Amino acid sequence: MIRQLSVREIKTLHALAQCIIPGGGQHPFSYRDVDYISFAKEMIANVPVHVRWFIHFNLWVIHYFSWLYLKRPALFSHLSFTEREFVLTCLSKSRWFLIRSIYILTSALLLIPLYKDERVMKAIGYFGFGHAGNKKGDTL
Amino acid sequence: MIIDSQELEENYHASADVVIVGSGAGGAPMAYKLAQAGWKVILLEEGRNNNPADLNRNSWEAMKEMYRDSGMLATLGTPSIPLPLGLTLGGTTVINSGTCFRTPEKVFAEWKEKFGLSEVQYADLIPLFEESEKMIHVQEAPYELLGTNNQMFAEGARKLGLHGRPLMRNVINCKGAGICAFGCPEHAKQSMERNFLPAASELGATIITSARAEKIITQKKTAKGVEGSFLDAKRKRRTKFRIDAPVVVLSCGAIYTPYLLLNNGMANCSRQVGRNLHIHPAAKVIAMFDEAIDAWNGVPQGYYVDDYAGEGIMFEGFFLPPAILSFALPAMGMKLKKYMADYRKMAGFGIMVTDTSHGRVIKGLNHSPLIFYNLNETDTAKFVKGVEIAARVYLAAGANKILVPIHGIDEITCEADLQKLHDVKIKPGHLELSAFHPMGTCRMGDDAKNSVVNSHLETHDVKGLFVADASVFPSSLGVNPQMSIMAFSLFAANYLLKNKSQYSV
Ligand SMILES: Cc1cc2nc3c(=O)[nH]c(=O)nc-3n(C[C@H](O)[C@H](O)[C@H](O)COP(=O)(O)OP(=O)(O)OC[C@H]3O[C@@H](n4cnc5c(N)ncnc54)[C@H](O)[C@@H]3O)c2cc1C
Ligand code: SF4
Repeated sequence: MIRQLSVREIKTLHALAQCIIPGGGQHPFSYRDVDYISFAKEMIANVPVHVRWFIHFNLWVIHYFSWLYLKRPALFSHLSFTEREFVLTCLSKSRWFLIRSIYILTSALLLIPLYKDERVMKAIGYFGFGHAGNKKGDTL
Repeated sequence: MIIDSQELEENYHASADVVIVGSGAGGAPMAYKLAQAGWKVILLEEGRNNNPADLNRNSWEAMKEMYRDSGMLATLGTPSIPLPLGLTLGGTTVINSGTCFRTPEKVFAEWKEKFGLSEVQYADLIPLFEESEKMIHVQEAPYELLGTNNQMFAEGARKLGLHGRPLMRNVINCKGAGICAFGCPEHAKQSMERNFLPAASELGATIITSARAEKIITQKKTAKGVEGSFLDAKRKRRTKFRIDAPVVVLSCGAIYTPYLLLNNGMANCSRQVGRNLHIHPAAKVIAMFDEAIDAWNGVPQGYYVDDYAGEGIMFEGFFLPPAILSFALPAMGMKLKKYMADYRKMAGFGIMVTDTSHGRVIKGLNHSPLIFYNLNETDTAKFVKGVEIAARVYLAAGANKILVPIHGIDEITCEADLQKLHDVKIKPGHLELSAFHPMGTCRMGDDAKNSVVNSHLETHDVKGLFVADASVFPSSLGVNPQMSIMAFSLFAANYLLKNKSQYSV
């Protein structure tokens, strides 16, 4: 039986999404436009058991231990947007690979569903699947 | 006949002259060659018979359908490295980039010197390369299909006096659709399910998909067949099967062949099964230009620069759809959105390093092996050099910004910024890498004490048990491996044909 996302993990994912795929900026799509929770559930159902553990472990670490970067006890989902952003920047820029990979894997849970959405792909100008557009002439 | 196991009865039991496990670059040519000689061949493939054209050109769908573990397989170690593998009829060749290189003679000579390989000479391989190249239609990528992504790098390389060429690829009527790694929707890429496998099937081979081999049957140190499970639509075990055969060929790839052998406690007197894992790790360099590049237009891996191949550094083109590229970029939040909004202006090139680092595959949980691999300082230094060269090439080509896969050095905007690569000591854990070419985990050699198979690819310990896949290469090839795998597989098949009486076929 696969352990799926708990209520606490879903809360953490929502808090992460607001920072990793925020509203505004260079294209209009954000955490509001995609169902990253369903995607995360699908991912959990399809990855090997140790990756599944790692996903749960990452969400647990982020939820309970983010305050270590702020030096005041608080759960991740209770932090302000700026504090959450600060914590995530610290994780993503850590010189320890294991800490960085907590950020990389967790951000993939949010970024893949956003950028695989056809509306988002169109907004950034990716129409994919075209034929070769040789803009540089045809000799080397 | 190519048939899904769901169409076969419960507790299926059959016999054959040879049972081949795995339908990738190793298994498919073996099946073809033996079927051509009239052998009764049964080939088992754990994946399904997918049609990439049905996957709607959607990279995530393709990964879920055709990649093992939805593409989330990775090494454990410093740094942890994603290592995607195919799980579909045709194996990893279905999701590969279609680049074709013969085994470099220098590498082959090193293998001979270190491991003997007394039965095989380079000259023996040449007709086998030719045979495979003909079968899979290897040809140079036409310049007009390279797309601006490759052309930009080519232009920069030329300005720096480097030598590049379009790559040799196995395609017919490639349209430059740019998503080779997610299955060619145009059926242009000539992966195994388009040539060797249908040809084997026409010659009488039975190819069963959704069939996972689990147990190798032996008697008195002689192979007798394979047992395993037929899988249902959710890839869960449906029923058991058994195939009896005097010859068993494992072609599950460099991760799953050693895993199967370790699970069976077999062919491991040398204690080398699962060891000596090389992965030919790769790093991505992304360049931003002022104008649109539309890097997805054209053959993603269409061009290479090999001036530094002697030092173990190779440059080959690549590009990725937005969903996959987005989490490989060194940014978050608004900054990442800004980068992604400029997706059309991005170009990408890969750096592959001939690794002297090596890792190990061990038994894991729930049909997934654990893969340990730590990058060493020597290989790290090669990456730093490769990144510097690629960045120089892009600056010469007119890029305004280069994103490099090194922690702490996010952007390079001018020659002076390249100094950043020398200001700090870059350690293995500072690199963001991926890898696509695992090999070496059942290495070949003459000495049964330090190798798993001999040079006709039969295990030293079990008569009639062969390994024909990327596991057998004793060191990192330094080039993309599919042609080498095919040629060695055909070599082993020819051995079997010449010596069939030894195996009571
Ligand atoms: C994204 C990507 C791009 C690449 N690009 C290139 C390239 O351009 N050029 C190149 O030369 N190489 C490339 N490669 C690598 C190349 O495709 C592989 O090295 C090659 O296919 C390996 O062949 P193989 O026979 O060892 O294993 P595979 O091709 O992986 O085949 C193994 C097969 O065995 C099956 N299997 C495993 N275990 C079992 C079991 N127990 N029972 C039944 N079946 C089983 C698997 O499902 C799989 O289909 C690329 C790889 C990737 C991931
Ligand atoms: S570039 Fe496109 S058409 Fe050509 S082989 Fe790759 S996916 Fe197929």
